[in-house]
Amino acid sequence: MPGRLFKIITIVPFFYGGLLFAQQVPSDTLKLEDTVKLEEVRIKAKASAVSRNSVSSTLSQQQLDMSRGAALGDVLKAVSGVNVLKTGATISKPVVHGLHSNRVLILNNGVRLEGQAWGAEHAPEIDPFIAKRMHVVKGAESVRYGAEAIGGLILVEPPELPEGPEVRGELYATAASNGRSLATSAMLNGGVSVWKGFGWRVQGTFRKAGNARSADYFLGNTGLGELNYSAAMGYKTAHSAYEAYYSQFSTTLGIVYSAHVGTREDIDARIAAGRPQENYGFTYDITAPRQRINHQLLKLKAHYDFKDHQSMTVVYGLQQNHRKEFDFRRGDREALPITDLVLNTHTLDLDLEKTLPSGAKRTYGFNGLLQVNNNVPGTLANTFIPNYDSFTGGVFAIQKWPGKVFDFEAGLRYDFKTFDAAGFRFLTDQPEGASDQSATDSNQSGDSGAAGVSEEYYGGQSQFHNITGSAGALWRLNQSWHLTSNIGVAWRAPTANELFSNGLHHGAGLYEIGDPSMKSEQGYKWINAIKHFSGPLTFELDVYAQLIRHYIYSQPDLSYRQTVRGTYPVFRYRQTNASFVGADLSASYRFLPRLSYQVNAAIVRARDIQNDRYLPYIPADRVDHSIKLELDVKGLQESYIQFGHGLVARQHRYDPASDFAAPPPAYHLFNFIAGTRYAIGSRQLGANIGVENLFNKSYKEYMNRYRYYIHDMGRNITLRLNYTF
Amino acid sequence: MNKLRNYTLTVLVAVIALTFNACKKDPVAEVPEEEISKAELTFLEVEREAHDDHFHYNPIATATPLTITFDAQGLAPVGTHAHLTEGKTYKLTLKSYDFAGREMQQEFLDKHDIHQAFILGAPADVMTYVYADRDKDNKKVNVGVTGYLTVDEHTETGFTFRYVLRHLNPGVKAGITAANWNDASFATKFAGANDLDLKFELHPVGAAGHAH
Repeated sequence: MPGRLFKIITIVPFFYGGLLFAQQVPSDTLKLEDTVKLEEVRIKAKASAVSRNSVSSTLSQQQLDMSRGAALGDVLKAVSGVNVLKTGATISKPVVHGLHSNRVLILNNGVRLEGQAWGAEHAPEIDPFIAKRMHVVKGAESVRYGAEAIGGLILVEPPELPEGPEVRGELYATAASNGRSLATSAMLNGGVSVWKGFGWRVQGTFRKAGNARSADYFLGNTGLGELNYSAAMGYKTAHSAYEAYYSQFSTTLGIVYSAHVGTREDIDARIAAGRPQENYGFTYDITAPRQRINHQLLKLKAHYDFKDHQSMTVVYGLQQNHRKEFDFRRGDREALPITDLVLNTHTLDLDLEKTLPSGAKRTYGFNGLLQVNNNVPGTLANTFIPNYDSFTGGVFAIQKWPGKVFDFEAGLRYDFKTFDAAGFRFLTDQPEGASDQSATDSNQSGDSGAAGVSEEYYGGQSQFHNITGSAGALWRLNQSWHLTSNIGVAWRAPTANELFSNGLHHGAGLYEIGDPSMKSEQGYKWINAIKHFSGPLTFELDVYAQLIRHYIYSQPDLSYRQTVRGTYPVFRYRQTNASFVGADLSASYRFLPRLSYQVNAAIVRARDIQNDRYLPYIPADRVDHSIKLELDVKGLQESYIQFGHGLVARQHRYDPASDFAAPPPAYHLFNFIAGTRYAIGSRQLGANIGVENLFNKSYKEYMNRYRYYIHDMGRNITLRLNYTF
Repeated sequence: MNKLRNYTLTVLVAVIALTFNACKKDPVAEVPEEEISKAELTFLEVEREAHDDHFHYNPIATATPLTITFDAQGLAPVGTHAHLTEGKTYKLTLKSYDFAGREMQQEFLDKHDIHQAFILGAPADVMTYVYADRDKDNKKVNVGVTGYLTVDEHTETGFTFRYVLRHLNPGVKAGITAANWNDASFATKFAGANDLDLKFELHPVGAAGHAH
C-alpha cells in the first residue's frame, strides 16, 4: 500500500500545478521559459506512536496546557482509568487500572525509563514540560516493549524536530498558591539555513515550591526544587533520519515531617489524633528527610528506509539515575544519605519493518538492556537493596493486517533476563529457629564486637525466561461505532527489594522481608473498548479483565520483629494469583454549540485469588465530570470557562490485616478553570487560571500512603501563561 | 543494505562493550551508625540532699552499680528482675553502643533539641525522675542520658519499667517540659520515632528488704 500511495502523492502536485498553471497563462502559447519546475513533494506517513489495535488515550497539547506545572502523575490523571499513588504532597506515581511502579512501563522519548521504580515513594523522573503529547496504552504491551508493561504503557512524546531554519519557541510560566510555587519552562527550536534537514531543540524547566498546605494546616517540609534541561539534534534525508537527545532531570523534594514515625504505637497515636499535633509555618527550606535525584538520558536514533518497503530503526539509550535519600540522623550524619544508589542502564532497540505485498506490515525486533546498580559507599547505613548487574534480551515479531473494516494484529516475543546481586548488611540476630533468607549465597556470622549482631553477605543469581504474545483487532462497524479488542500477555521480573529486603521500611512502620526465590510475574489482560462518535455524543467505554500469575506484594506475616527501637510487624513479599477487573468511561456531550459536558469514571475490582483477600492500595471508584462553556470574546480565541466536580467513593475492598486504619470516607472536590488565547500574528499568548479544591475541603485520599498522618491538599489557585513564537 | 546494517550494529556493540562500566562493584561492609547494637542502664545509689528549691545528689562511696544490659533487640537477659529500695535515689545513666561496639550516647546529647527520654510503666506515685543532662553552657537540656530516679514507694509485685529514648520531629521539643518524663501519651503528643525502647522488670522493695 505505501509504495502506491507514495507514487500517487508525489504525482498529484504535478497534476495540480499543471492545471493551475494552465489556468493562469492567458496566452495560447506556452514558452519554455514560462514553465515552472515544481519541487518534488514527498509526504511520508509518520507511524503513529500507538497501534490502532490497542486501547489507548492521548493527552493533546491543549489538555497538557491545562495542567502545566504539575508532576507527571497528576497530569495523567486526566485520562479515565489512570489514578495516582501519592506519598504526601510532593510525590505521585501514575496508576493504570490499579497497577503502578514496575507494572506500568514509562517511555521517555521512546526509551524505557529506568530508575528505582520499585519504590512506592519514587516518582517518575520525567519533566512533563518536554511533552507535546502523552499517550496511555491500557493493555499488556510486553510484545512490543518488553518487560513491565503489565497494566499499561505511558509514552511521553516531545515535539518533532523542525526541518526549517526559523527559530521558534515556547515559554511557560505557572504560579500556584498552594506551596507558593513557580514553574517556568522555555523551549527553542530551529534549523540551520545552510544545512537542510537539520533541526535542533533546547529546553529547560525550573520549579520551586515551598511547604504545601492542607485545608487547615501547613505540611512541614514539603518543599520541592527541580531543574531540568534537554537538548536534541536531528537530521533527515530522503531515506534516513538521525536523532541525538540528551536530557537531565534533577529534583530535591522534602518528605513531610509528620510522617516520621517509628512503631505501630506511633502510627496508631497519629491515626487517633487525626492530624499532626505540631504546627509548621511556610518556608521554602527543605531539610531531612528528603530525596535528591538526578537522572540523565542520552538517546541516539537512526532510521533508514530501504527499497522494497523495508525500514530499520536503531535506538541506543544510556541512562544514569542517581538517587540519594536523607533521613533524620544523629551525630553529624544528617548530611550523609541513608541510601545512595547509582543505576546505569544501556538499552539497544532494533526494529526492522517490512510492508508485504498484501499490505500487511511485519515488524521484527530486538531489545537489549544492560543494567548495573551500585550502592555508593560512605552512607554509614545498611544497604536497602544490593549491588546488581542484569542483562535482558528480547526478540519479537509482530504482524499487522490493516483493512477497511477490520484491522488485526498479532505478536510473539521471547525474553531472557539474568540478574546477579551482591550486598552486605549488619543484622541483629534472628530469633532462634527462624530462617528468613531461604536462599543466600553465603551467610557468614562475624563477631563485630557487639553481641547479637551478625554480618550478612546477601544476594544471588537468578534467570528468567518468558514468552509473551498479544493479539488485537479493531472493528469499524460504521462511521460512528468502533470496537477494539486486545488480549496480551506481559511479564516482569521481581525487583531487588522484593527479592532481598530484610529490614525496617522507614516511615512505613514495618519490617520487610523479601524472597530471593521468587519467579517472574505474568499478566494476561483482555481489554475491550467501545467507541462512539457522532453528532453531539462521543464516548469510549473500556472494559478489562486481567489475571496476574505470581503477583508479588508484601503481606502481613502476623509475626513481629523485636528491635532496640521497639516491635514492628513483619511483612513478607510473597507471590499469589491476582485478578484485576474494571471499566473506564470517558464521554462528552455537546448540548449547545458552546456548551459541553464531559465525564470520566473508573472502577477497579482487584483480588488476591489464592488467599481470598483484597489487595492493598487499589483505587476506589471515582467520577470526574465538568461543564465547559466556550466563549466568543472579540480579539481572543478559544476562550472557555469550565466547572468540574469529582467524587471519590470510600474504598470498602481492603484487608484490615494489611492496613493500619480503615480507608477514609468518600469526598467531593470542586474545581474551576478558565482560559483563553491571544494571537499576535504568528505568535500566540495563552493564559488560564484554575482552582483545584475550590471550597478548600479537608479530606484524606486512600491512595495517599501518608493519609494516616496528614490530610490531602487544600485549595490551589494556579495561573498559567504560555507564549508560542 | 545488509552490509550497512551489520556495520552499524558492530559499531554500536563495540561502543557499548568499550564504554560499559562493566559490573556491579563488590559490596562494602559499612557500619550502620544509626543502629544501636547494645544498651545499658545503670542504677547507682546516690544521696539526695535538699537545698532550697532543688536537690543535690552526692555520691555514696560504698554504693555498687546495678547494670542491666539490653541486646541488639532491646531485650534484657531472660528472667531479669531488678530491685530498688524505697526511699533511695539512684543515678540512672544510659550507655549505648553502635554496631562496631563503640559508645555513642553522646550523640543524643549533641542533638539535645530532638531527643528526650521517657520513663514509663511505674504505677502512680511510685517513682520520681529528674533529668540531669546539661549542655556545655551548663543549661539543662532534658535528654535523659543521665538522670536521678527517686523511689518514693514500694510495690507488691514487679512492673515493666520502660525507658524510651525518642527522636523528636523538628520543633516538637519546645512543647515538652521536664514534668513530661512519664507522659504515657508521648506517642500521640510528641511526634517522632523511638531510638531506644528498653524494658525490664523492676520491683521497688521496702527499706526493710524482702525475700522472694
